[in-house]
Amino acid sequence: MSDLWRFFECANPSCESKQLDGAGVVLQIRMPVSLGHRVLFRCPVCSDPMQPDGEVLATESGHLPGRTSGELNNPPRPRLTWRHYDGGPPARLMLGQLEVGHVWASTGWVARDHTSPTHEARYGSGSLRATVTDLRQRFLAAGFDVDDATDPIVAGFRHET
Amino acid sequence: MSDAVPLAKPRLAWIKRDGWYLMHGDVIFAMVKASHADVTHVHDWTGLLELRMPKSFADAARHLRSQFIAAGFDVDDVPEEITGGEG
Repeated sequence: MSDLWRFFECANPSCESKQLDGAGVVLQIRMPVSLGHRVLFRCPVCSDPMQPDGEVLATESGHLPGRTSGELNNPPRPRLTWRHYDGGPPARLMLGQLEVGHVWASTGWVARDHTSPTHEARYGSGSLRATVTDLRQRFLAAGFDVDDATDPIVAGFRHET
Repeated sequence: MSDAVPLAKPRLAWIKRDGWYLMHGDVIFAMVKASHADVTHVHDWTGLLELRMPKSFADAARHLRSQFIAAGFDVDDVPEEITGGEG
């Protein structure tokens, strides 16, 4: 899925942010092109809607909840989603736009938890499924809500294994 | 295999470098950094979101903290070194 950059500005001419240098608050966010939720951003200074207001923009399930005016759901735990590598099969484990872990094929299957660089487990005799599950379980235990995309991930690698 | 039951929310800590960084383990999630004049930059890598804020450095840090708390994280209090003891 391709992304594009969108810029939002505070629409309130009386906003304190306008007193700074005339530019006001500028919010820059990268969003996927395809349509998803309706998103309304509010100025972090005055809480007024930002422009473009009311535009139907795209988000995806990995978009950090709580970032918007509350029109998106607000699950109790931060949600991690699986994403494909560019030009390749899965799997990157993402919090929004930030990769927090990955599974890849090296001399064996490799699961890396980026939050703990000392954790890089190689499973030369293990399965891809076990490696994906291991990484998922690590983040579940750390308090994240992690997509169970094991089957699509395994299917994505199928022709390479 | 059943999912593990989390005992706590993921915790974010404030780490001082060239600015103040919100980190989970060794991964940087967000940053607050003072710029010229009274402008504070907030950068959130989870959403690739950048803000130029006229708020004070402390207010910007508190804003960032509230955003991540709303997103389900357990975020350390803004350090007194940032707030200057103003709470």
